[in-house]
Amino acid sequence: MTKEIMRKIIVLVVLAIMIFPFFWIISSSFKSFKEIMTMDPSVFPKDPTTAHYHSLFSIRNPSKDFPANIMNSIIVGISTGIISIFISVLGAYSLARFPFKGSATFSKMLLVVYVLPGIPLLLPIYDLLARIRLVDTLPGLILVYTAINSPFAVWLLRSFFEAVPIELEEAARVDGASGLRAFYSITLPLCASGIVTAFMFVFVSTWGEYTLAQLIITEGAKKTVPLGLATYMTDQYIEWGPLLAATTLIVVPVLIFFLPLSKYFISGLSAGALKE
Amino acid sequence: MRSRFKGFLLLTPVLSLVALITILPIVNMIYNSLLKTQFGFGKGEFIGLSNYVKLFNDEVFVGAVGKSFIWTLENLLIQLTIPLLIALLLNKQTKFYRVTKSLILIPWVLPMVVISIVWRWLLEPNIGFVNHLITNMGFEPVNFMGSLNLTFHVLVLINSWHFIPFGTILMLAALSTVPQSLYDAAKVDGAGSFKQFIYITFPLIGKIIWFVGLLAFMWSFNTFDLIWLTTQGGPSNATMTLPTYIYKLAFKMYDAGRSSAAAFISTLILIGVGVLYFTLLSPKSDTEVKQP
Amino acid sequence: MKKVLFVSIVLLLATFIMAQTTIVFWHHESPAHRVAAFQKAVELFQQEYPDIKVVQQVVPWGDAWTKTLAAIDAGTTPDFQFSLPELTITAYQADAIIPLDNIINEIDEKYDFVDSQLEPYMIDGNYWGIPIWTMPMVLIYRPSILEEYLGTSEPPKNWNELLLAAQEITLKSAAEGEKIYGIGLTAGNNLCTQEQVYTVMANVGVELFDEDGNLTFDSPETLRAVEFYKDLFKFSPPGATGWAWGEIEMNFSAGKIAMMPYFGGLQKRFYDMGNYDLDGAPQPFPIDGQRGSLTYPNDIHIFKSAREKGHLDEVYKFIRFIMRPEINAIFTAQTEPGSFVPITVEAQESDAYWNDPIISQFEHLNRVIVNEINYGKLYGFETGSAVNLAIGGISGGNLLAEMIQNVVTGKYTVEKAVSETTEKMREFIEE
Repeated sequence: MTKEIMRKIIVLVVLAIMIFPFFWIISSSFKSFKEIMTMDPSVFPKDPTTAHYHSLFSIRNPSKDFPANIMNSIIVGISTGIISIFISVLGAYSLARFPFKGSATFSKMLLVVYVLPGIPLLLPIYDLLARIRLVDTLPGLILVYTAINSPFAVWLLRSFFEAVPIELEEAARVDGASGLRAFYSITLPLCASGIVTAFMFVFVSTWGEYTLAQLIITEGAKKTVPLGLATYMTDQYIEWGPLLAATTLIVVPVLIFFLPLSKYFISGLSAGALKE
Repeated sequence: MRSRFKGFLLLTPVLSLVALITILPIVNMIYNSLLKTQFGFGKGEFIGLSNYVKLFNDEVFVGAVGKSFIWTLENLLIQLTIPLLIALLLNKQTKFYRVTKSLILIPWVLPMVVISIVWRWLLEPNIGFVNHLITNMGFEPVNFMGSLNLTFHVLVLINSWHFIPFGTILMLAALSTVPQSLYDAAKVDGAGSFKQFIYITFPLIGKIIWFVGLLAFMWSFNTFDLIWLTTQGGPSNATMTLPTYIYKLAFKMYDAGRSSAAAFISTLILIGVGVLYFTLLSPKSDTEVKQP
Repeated sequence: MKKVLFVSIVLLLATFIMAQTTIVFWHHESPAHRVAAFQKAVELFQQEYPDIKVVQQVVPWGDAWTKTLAAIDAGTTPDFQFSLPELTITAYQADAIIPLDNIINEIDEKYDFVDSQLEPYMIDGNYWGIPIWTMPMVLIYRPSILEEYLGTSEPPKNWNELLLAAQEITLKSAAEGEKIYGIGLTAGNNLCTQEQVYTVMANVGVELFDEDGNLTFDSPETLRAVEFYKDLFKFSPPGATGWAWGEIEMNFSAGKIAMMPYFGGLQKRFYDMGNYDLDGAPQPFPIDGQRGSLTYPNDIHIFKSAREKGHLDEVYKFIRFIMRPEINAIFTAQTEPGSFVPITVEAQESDAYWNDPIISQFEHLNRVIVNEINYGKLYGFETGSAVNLAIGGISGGNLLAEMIQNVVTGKYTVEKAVSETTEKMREFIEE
């Protein structure tokens, strides 16, 4: 029993280190500007105020619009998730069912492609989007995010499709189902946890992405959350209050999306990575 | 033959996207690296390999390559061990541990723009909370962000702090696949928990460690936001890794040609280490080619 | 009947919309009150010119260079953007902007530009940016701290006094366990450090280039300035080697710092906190030196795309409008009081500026700031116009900041740091 208590204490210490900065953000978001700018910082606000939260929703104009930032990020995250899952399912299914010589190496190369350096690709990507007139549009951003995240999703999903015995599909076909029908009524449901996992992974990676988004999006009404946050921290004037309040709020939707699904996420990742 | 065509057809969407957004720009980058060009557009003068020659004569570049390797190694070490330890700690199914597993994800979903500025604030020597604690304990404040020796490692820790939740979740996922019956059997044989870990757990989760290592390597090698938003590579280039160097050269010093050359070298390193990792360290079952 | 009315309204609206021209500009001032001030000016303009719609888009400073280059490359530039001399040079080198001599002459005759603030935009015989406001550095200080530790509210006037005052405040407060620092100097790898270093350099007449654009950085004056910065830096708070604007502003606001060479832009925050313990003095200089400081003029440059779209008339109308002293006050007093300062003599004398509540609250400080413009310079532009375009990359590469870091961290001696930086500048210029 004492061993268990010790263990829980250690867990709490670890947890404290991991989430202290976020706790600090929440706590400070209720501090007045004067209290933020003090040389004697306190853990809890001495005179709590919700003024910063009000300002997020009351100061809205075409160039600075926090609620719109959240909406945009949700739209971009979900669209990128859906589109990349769609094309990744096709690709992963292909790799699992129609392997070719070197397809194992090929799927590994996909992983390498996934992390090729982003910085030098900035100008060419912008140039490309400009040519197809997608600069400063959410579809443009979705396109780039989809291209960047799909290789990982393909790699992850491939092992799920490999795990579904082909005999199941064949049996369904014998019963008169078409190939497509067999695919979506038999194979796809069996890969559900993989699909949820890939979706969540893509969603989170779009949620925090800054470098590409700042390049592609200019108009205030189209900015995603990281871009919106960046407008609170210009060089010579950091708007601490609204920044902290906004950060607190943006974690909420992710947790709402994430927590109910985290069970699937964990099992999906284990399945995906372990089968590799 | 027909199925091969079908397979290719299904792969087309993802392949064309990758070709469009990744491969094409890389070709463009390689071309630029042979030019003397200020901004990466307009007319550049073809100068062969001299951008590369200049890079290897630039001690900041050579330093950046070295720092990138140390950066990646340090990150890897932390990001492989700590998540595993935390996962072992959290690998229980009661409510307390379930809640903890969810809460621990928070650093992973915080955008890097926020992480960098909040840590800068927390670690500031005079008004930051961490130093407030340190001085309250009677020590001198620590210059976390502006020290030639320390800052690099502080940034490694912050970067790892961001990754640890994801690594932990992966490790937990792996641990959950180890059958309890194995541990029970081991206990009967009188094996202590350390022995259990070495002989049962470790071999079974080797693959996931390999995978976490791969992700940690690739993400760490490319870390840009955090370094740029905290130190811009300073003090005195102490945190100038390859991505930071490439960005500075291209967008602050307008040497698009040389920046492209550095970027190409960085790409080669990534691919090279990636291939080595796959061939030398791959778990065994990974090399099997599955045929339906 | 209703239908007819509806159709006619739609038609009317349609013709109205079709007749309206939309011009788009970028600026880099993202805090809420700055965006609001820009919007206010835009709306006033639209009231006067209902046929022109003006759209502001905010691109934070950190992204300004990448976005400008990407937009020039892809042909997606706005009609014009707010800028700094270095960014204007970049846009000029990328062949993306048009000369503005006519409109500048027109505004100059009407409102009289401070000449020194106009010259950095002279490149190869033409003006490429029209200054809208400028940002002078002065010695900002907390009168109460000076009073407490020096027994006087008189700020130091020369280098010796500055060094002694910084030392006394630091040591005395440390003895009392208060740990307040006499001076706020940064040494981070960023523009903030460069601005402060250059302010000190301007006091001894450091020149990066001579009139012909030859590098003259490696001089006794530079050594002297760096040496002084190093000495003074001992009385700056620990951690300043990692600081940028954010940290120094927080430390000053928290009362950790007594004095600092800085812009006047903390006024709004102090005003909002109801704290009026803030004043300023001319930047101290050595007895055998010269009065001088850094001024950073901010301009507008117009992209070629505006000419191609036939928007030039509308853009000029907008510029004429915002240079009217009473409108210009919105871009200075209301956008960032004390930091953004009028750049024409007319605007500097206008009531619209001085009657602003924050400007008048800190009137002494603001008089000092406006006066300092007459002694202001910008590094690389000491002789006036842009004589060596490499200054863009020298500034962007943070070479001055890196030099200071190498000195204050003890990595190099002053001599070695200066000669190494000169070497880097030379290499950079030769390419």
